[in-house]
Amino acid sequence: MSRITKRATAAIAVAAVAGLALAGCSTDTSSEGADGEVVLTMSGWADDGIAEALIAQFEEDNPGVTIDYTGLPWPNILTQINTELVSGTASDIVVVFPGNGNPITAQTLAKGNYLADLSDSPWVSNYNEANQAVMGADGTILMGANAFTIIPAIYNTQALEAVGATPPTTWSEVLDLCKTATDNGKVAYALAAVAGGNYHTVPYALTATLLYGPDPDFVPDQYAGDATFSDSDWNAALDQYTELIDAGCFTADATGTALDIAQGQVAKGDALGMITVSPQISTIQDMAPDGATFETAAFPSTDDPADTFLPVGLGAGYGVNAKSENLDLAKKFVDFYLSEAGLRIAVDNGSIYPSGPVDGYTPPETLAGVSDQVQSDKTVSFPDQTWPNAVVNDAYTTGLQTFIGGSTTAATLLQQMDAAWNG
Amino acid sequence: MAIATAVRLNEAPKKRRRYRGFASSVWWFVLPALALYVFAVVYPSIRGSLFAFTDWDGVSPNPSWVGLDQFARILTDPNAVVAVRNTLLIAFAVTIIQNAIGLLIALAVNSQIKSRNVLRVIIFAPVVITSIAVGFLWQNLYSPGGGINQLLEAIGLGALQQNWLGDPDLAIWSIIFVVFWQFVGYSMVIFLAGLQGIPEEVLEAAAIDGAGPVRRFWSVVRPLLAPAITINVMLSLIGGLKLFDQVFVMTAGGPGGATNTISTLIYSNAFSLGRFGYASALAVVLSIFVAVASIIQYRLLALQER
Repeated sequence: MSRITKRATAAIAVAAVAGLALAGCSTDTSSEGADGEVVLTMSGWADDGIAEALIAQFEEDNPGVTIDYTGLPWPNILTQINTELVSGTASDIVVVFPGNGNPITAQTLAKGNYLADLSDSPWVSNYNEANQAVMGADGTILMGANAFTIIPAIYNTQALEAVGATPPTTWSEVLDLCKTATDNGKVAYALAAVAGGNYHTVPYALTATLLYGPDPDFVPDQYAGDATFSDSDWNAALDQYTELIDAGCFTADATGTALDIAQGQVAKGDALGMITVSPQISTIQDMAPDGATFETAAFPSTDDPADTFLPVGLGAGYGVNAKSENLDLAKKFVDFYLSEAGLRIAVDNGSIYPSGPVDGYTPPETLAGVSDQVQSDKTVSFPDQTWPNAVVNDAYTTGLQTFIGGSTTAATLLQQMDAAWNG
Repeated sequence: MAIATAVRLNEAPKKRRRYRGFASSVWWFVLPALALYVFAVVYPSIRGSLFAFTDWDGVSPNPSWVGLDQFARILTDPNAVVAVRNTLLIAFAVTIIQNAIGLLIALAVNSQIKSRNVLRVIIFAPVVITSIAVGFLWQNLYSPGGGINQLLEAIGLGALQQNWLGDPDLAIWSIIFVVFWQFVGYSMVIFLAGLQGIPEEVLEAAAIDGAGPVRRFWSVVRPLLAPAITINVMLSLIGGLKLFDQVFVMTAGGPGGATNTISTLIYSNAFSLGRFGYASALAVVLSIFVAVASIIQYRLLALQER
């Protein structure tokens, strides 16, 4: 081989490798199929039956449009969608969380203008002011969600009947239920205090009635510097948490108990109930033996049932990639997703509480116990959705584990949360 | 004869030219792979390291240059101090325990016992299971009502039942045991390969000279196993320093951050807290740890090999 030929071969080889590498890193920006049909891309949850049904209907309603759906599991969904948005390779429609607690929340992504402004969408008026505040940033709406997530106490009906109890409506009844459960060789409430467990939802349920419900100005006061966690009724909530622990209301050694173990305790009736987010009801049902039924009730923290507020937060939903080549079509899908027709598909294909009106909708039996409270709006947002950064949530969840384990006091935990709030 | 010599003399320069040409073409063949390596590894690593000198939050388009602030922050972050301590504890504990037990097992299964092949397979089997699956398996076994506490109860040792992953003082050791359980077979296989390379007649000669089993091991087997020891110690030390999967699955760094390692802290800062700059600084520190530890122990063990 001559020197010139060798050089030419080498140059071609390097160019080919570089070309292949660059091609591997680039995104196919073409959104038009071979026969002229438009292809929308969408990144959502793995095995999401509601999304599948919505896509099928949208494709039927819009001939020539195909949605290429990528299902992602937790927690990969956080890192993958964030990385793709930052690198400009994200799908046209992406999962977005409300608030400010993870890498794909509306307020986090607003910093880089990665999401299209959806403020003029027809569904925005379905949400109250508190919800709209966490759906975007600086007055713009960047995402919409089709369901509310509720934090009720979920009870195993047969287990309650077996010990002759009913869902408590007052704090005293809660403590009575704990004793009844213990006397019958069970625990009242399953608790998982490893990361990803339900341990952080208990203070949310308690502060709903003790703080956020009666004092709706608490969060604005915090932002104004006029209120802190340390000087608030978070103290009372954590005292009640301690009282519940000391009364044997929870799973023993909860700090070593994973969420699926705790869910299994409720499913099998070893625990009478569990204070956790409503989407876990279906998981618990799947784990339960045939014939087991479940019901929900707001968790009280005073002796007057009329005082009780229910934590209700907006769940994860969808936003539109600001760099989408099919911006209008992607927005059209989100409009459909949050239209009455889209919400109807969602309630027909999943056990959810819709975020907008659905004519003739009746909540699933499991959520009937909290339905009146949701409809009368005796609810508060999830506290973490109102916090200014994800560090407060990290201080809360990390410190709460040691609080439950007994090595951190309420005062220390709340000081750490205040410090995180102040950055 | 003279003609033949002349021919050979004439051929010599030709051979050298051919060799130079061959060497030159080898470099041309290496170049594409090198270009790919630079593109896929070197460039992203340098680019990623540069984030350690910024306050990038993972989404903002224009991060600010903050110099060494992120590195200074590591020194004052109590979570980082715990993570560094845990990382070093895991790395050294796993290295010592895994290699000591791995060597003992290798010596045992290198003998003539009948079930040696079955034992080798059983002990090596956890190595081929993914670390994520191992984490979930042991999280279940370690749970308060899980297999380990049930076993202790069943054999009358109920008093020894523990909250294996929920006790901050115990959780890190529970994780170390899982890593040892998973990778001891890996060390065993490398030691076994080294043992099988030792000539039988050398051991027989030592025995004839009156050396007992301990003396034979220390004076004959151990020096000849030095390369295997070097490889094993280096791999387990690096693996321990980088440990992520098992910790992330079993405790996610909890309870209360008690089992955080540098790797889990990098993940949480980057992907939960939006502190990519700080996470990059931690990653740079971890890389330096791995490099320094590898160089030091490689040199020490290389001295021993001589």
